[in-house]
Amino acid sequence: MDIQLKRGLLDVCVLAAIRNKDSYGYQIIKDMKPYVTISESTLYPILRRLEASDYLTVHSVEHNGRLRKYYHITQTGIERINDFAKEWEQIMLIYQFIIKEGTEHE
Amino acid sequence: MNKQQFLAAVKAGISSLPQSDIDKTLDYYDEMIADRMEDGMTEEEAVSDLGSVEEIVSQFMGETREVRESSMPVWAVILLVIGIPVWLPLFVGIGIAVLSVYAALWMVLISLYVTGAALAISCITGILLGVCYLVAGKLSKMAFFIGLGLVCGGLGIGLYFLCNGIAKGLVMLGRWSVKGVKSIFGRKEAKS
Repeated sequence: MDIQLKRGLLDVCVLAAIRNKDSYGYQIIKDMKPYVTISESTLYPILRRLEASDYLTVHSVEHNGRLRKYYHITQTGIERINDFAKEWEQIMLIYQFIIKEGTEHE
Repeated sequence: MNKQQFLAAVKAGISSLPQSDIDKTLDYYDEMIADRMEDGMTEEEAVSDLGSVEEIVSQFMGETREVRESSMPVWAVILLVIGIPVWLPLFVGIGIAVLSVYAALWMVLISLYVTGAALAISCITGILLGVCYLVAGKLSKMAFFIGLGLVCGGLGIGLYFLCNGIAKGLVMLGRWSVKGVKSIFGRKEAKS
């Protein structure tokens, strides 16, 4: 897949993973696993980018005697997901056209 | 490889980065390893699951480089630096002008408050004078001064509320301008 495309997709994926509940790094990777596999090294810059753009906030929670970083989506992050969904409704229509007319048939 | 070795190797690989970046990265991988171990992996398995140190370091350095490079091309930076004698005084001048205007607005506000205070004093004075005239039996003069005093009082109160509103507006204007300036610089770093 095109690298820039994948990167944009993964950003929104991570936001979706924390849309309805705060989550932490490893849990986010596990949640995404049935759909797309990403490594920690890929996730880390995504989380930093999302935080820099104010799409999420970070807070630490004590867990088994260590501090675990939890990520919480912001209103801006939610809007980003909604914008993405709207963009892709359009893309899906175009995709249907391509599949219908662009593949060989009578 | 165990956790300590892994983290030391990553630290060595990214040692050229600022200390806070290094600490955050090590915390992140430390957390990942701990979470995997909670899931039942051994320390060795958790570490090997993360991939090779070389991959991690190169991906991390690549991303960081990308963030820095993509925010401004080299020629633009050079141009910016060369142009400092031109744009810096301009910016400073504009900045001072804007701040002066803002300060002047506050001065106007202060003088309005002072006017309000003066009106309040007039109100009290008028009423006192009126009372004096009442005592002296000069009813028409009493009525005049009490009336005048009340008018000043009303104006003063109205002006006071107006000033509060203006003050709020100026504070909001100030905050909003600061946010605007911040976002111009902030967005350059966040875009990657």
